[in-house]
Amino acid sequence: MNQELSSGFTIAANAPIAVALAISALLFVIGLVGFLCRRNMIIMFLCTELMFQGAALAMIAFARLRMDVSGQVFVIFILTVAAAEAALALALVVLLYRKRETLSAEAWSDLGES
Amino acid sequence: MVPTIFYAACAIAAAGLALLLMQSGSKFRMGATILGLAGIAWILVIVVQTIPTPTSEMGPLGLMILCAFVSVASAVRVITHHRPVFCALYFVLVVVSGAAIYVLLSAEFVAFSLVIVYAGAILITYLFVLMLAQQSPADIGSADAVDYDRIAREPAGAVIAGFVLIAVLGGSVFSVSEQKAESILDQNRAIRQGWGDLSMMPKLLLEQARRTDSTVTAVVARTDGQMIAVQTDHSAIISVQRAGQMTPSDLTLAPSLLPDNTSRVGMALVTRFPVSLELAGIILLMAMFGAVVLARKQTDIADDDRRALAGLGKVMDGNQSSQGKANR
Amino acid sequence: MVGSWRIMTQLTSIPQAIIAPELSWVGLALLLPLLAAVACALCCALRVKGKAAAIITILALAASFGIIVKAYFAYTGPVQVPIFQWLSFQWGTGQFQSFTANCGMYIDTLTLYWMLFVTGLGTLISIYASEYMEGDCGAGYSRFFFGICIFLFSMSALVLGDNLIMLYLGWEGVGLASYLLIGYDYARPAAVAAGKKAFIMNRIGDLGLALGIFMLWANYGTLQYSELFAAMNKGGQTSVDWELSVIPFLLMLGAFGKSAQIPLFTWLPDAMEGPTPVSALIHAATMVTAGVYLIARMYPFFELHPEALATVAWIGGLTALLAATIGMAQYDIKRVFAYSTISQLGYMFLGLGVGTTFGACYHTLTHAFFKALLFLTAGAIMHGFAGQLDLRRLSGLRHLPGWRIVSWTMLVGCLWLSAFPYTAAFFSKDAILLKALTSVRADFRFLGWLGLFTAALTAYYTFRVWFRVCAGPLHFEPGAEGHHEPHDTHDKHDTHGKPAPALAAKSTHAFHPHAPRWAINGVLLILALGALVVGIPGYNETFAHKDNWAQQMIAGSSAMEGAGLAEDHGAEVSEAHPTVLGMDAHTGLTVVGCTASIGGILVAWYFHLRSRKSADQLRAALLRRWWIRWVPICMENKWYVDEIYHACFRLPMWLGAQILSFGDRHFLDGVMVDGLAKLPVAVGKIFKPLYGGALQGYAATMAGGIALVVAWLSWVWLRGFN
Repeated sequence: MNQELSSGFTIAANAPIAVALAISALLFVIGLVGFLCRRNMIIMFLCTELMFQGAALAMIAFARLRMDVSGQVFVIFILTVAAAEAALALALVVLLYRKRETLSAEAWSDLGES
Repeated sequence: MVPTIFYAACAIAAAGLALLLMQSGSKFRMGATILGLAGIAWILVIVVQTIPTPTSEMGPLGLMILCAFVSVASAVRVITHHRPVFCALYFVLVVVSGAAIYVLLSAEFVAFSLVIVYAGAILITYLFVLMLAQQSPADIGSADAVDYDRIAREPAGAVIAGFVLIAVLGGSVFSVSEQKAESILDQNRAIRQGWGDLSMMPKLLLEQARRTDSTVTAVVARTDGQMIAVQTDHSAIISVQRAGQMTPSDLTLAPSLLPDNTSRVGMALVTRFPVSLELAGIILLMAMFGAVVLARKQTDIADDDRRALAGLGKVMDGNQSSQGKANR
Repeated sequence: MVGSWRIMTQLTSIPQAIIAPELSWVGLALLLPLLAAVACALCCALRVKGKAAAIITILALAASFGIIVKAYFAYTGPVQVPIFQWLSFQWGTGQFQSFTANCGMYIDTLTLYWMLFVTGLGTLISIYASEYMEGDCGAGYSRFFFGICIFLFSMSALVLGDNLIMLYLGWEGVGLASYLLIGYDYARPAAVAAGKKAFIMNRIGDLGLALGIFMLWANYGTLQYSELFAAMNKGGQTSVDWELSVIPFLLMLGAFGKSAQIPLFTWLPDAMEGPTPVSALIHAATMVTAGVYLIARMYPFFELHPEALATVAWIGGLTALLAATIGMAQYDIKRVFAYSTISQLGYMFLGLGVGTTFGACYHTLTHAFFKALLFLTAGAIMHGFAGQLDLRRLSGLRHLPGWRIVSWTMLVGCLWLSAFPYTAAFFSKDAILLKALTSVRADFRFLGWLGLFTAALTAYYTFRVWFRVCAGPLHFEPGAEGHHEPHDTHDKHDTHGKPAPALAAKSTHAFHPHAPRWAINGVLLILALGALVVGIPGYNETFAHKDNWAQQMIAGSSAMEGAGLAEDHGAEVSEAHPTVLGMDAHTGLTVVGCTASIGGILVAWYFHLRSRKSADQLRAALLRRWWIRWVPICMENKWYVDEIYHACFRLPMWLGAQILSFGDRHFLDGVMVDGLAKLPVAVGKIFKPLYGGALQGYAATMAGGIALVVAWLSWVWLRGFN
């Protein structure tokens, strides 16, 4: 079966890249799960950073696969956006914390019906 | 490979993660950890097994798997730890191991910038905010943590959603029996692109050419418009002007003279993505403004005070002033 | 000289129409009423206060009449006049692969015959209405004349059209005009209800007509008269094929609806809610004869089923009797005349059914004149006595100055209606009854005797009106209307009971009847004269032994089969030796007819002029005896036909509507609409916990959605590879 696969399998042409892709997927999903489970707003944002990590790792892996630096350049942009997001999000968190004296995201569920 | 095996590995990993998140008791913690790690290990084994690995890559692969375990385990700790500060520190571990993987994937510049920007800047900001927002208790124990940090919110549903995602995606990617597309991993193409990048840097090109032949005085454009001709043996031929010679002649450059990762990334940034670079700068600037505006202390100023600040006199009417007081 | 008239008709075929585009000026008879209608509508829109609409209408209709007269004198043979292409489709080359219904005219003698009295009476009655409706100047005056113009246009299209689609257009148009004019006084619920009733009952008949037209096309592939008649001339008329034999019955249904025959007659008495000129023109003289025209026009097709004409005869005879019995017991003058109209239409259908299209059409003509005359006199009385139409409250009007013309012209109308010997109606009714009584069929002979009996009843109720209203001591009570509102308001219930206290209290002397002026009087005189003139063909035939003009007219058209020209007629008499009461058919019928007519008049004279009390005594005596009391009660209540229809049709429909409404409210609305609306709400409640307002809920939905999409995509992807 491996023989068969090696003939035309391209998405992870060598093992380190495949592993890196697997890790990126795991990081993304763990970040997602964390975002859904945690109630602390700061940790939730940390989890989004975790998802960013997953995405960035996939970029790097594909850049390596294609021998093209564009993927790496995109990671730099991701870093930029993450930094901007962190600045804004943390400012927001500080603001919200001042209003309710808690970091729980559930303190801000006024939009819901019940 | 049948995706069912992959699904099973995902299910085990998901079960471990869900148990860790449930916080049902410390007696499960060890079992849950083992279960989760086993699941992740199984996933990695399936992935590695899928790809035939030449022996030359066994070393990097080993390092990669080590980093993978560190990375995933600390990511799990990020989402399971009760104390936000520890979460942030575990995240630093994720970033550092991620940077190691970047290095293994020969993305050195990004790896270091990741460590500097993430671990150095962003995470420190997080820690600042964490410390600002909540007082750290004296002793370390989960009992003291606040409720919203201790109790996960519907972990089962979240884990199912997440791992369904990874199962179907990974299952489809890592279990394809045959794919018709031809290999993209074309070393020649990559090197040709490297030489192409180098041709856009005439000073660097001249420098590299002098390393081979110190008598080169200038790099000249060839008549066919191609400064560098890449040959099948990965070497490049460029046209140079040597000292004491009237006509330009060819010079062959070895692959070892290709620019390194940092210069290539920099080159790509300024030549292929200049607009994106500018936009990124603007985004950062706007984020800074936004953060300033958001985090500024907001105070309510009474009408009279506002008038005073604006350089106007107080309103004489008693009603008005009392209203101002009432507003305040 | 040999065989019955059926064989005769197979020898002589319907003359083939020639195409004559040069006669297209006759189309002005169609165009002028339409233009006048537009002008009247403009008058209506501009709120013209004067009588402009009446003048326009009278001029247009008079011009139309003039055109028809000119066409009559220019007539040489049947022509088909194309005007313009209206509906013309072709989707193949075969017989059934084209459909043509162009705007064109088919002019033969039947057309001219009909158009002459339609346009002529239309003009006269418009003149009459210009005075009659003057109280409405500035209000509904222009609207009224708009309706008249629309009616005349539609009637002309009906009669002149060269195909059945044109006829149908006109048929629906006259129905519309009838509806508009019955409901002219739309503020009165009775008028609105009557309009709706007329419209809906006509719809039932029109369904039959429409289906008949469909069947004609399906069987002959054309709706042009000339082609249809050509197809009939080829022979093979009688067929057992149901598709062909159903055609006459469907057409018949349309005719019964429009001409108020059993079972669709109840709308006509109610249609008297409209202004009297409308009753005279539309609901007595012209529109209701459209059914007769239809059957006369399509007469060859009534041979398609052997019992079709017999059905027409039976329906006509029974309608004549039924309507006459109801008319005997009504107190409202217009209603008496309305039932007499139904009854006389019954005679026409009887004539058509027993095979004398000549008799039917001649009766149509005479009836048009004397019935229009009667209605117009009734209208004049109503106009002058503030809506009073109860014949018990009017008496001796001939003694009142200014009412003499009305009284004596009414006498003319009554004499004609009662078929007084040697009046025009006597000849026309005679033609019908003679045919019936000399028929080889026993049931037709029975119908003939029934018709004679009905003639006696007719004479009785007609003169009941005249003796009550115009003869006797002078006495009158004004109607409920204000003097300057000469609408045809009369309370239906009031006419049966004692005078209302408020009415009785009104002093007779304080009320000054509003005598008719020159327009009404002039029209009445002209119509009386016309009633005399239409008798001329009858005098010619009877005394001068010349050809009857009407007979010649009918014999030259598609209705020629029943025209019964001299030799044809003679053949039958000589072979069957028909006798009436042992005498020669002609003589016998004259004797019997005179007896019936004069007998009826004498009875009316006794009960309603000489000793009016005895009429009430007779009624009381009848009511006292249990075995006979149902007769007056049923007659006064119109044999409860409306009530029976209500119970048989309206009530089940009402119940069905209630059930459907219930189903609509509770099943369609309740279960389907509201239930379906509740479904998303219920589904929403299932997913509501996800949207508690917490950020993670929304994120979870997003992640789950993405997971599902990815699952589906990868499944598709994998399937593509494996």
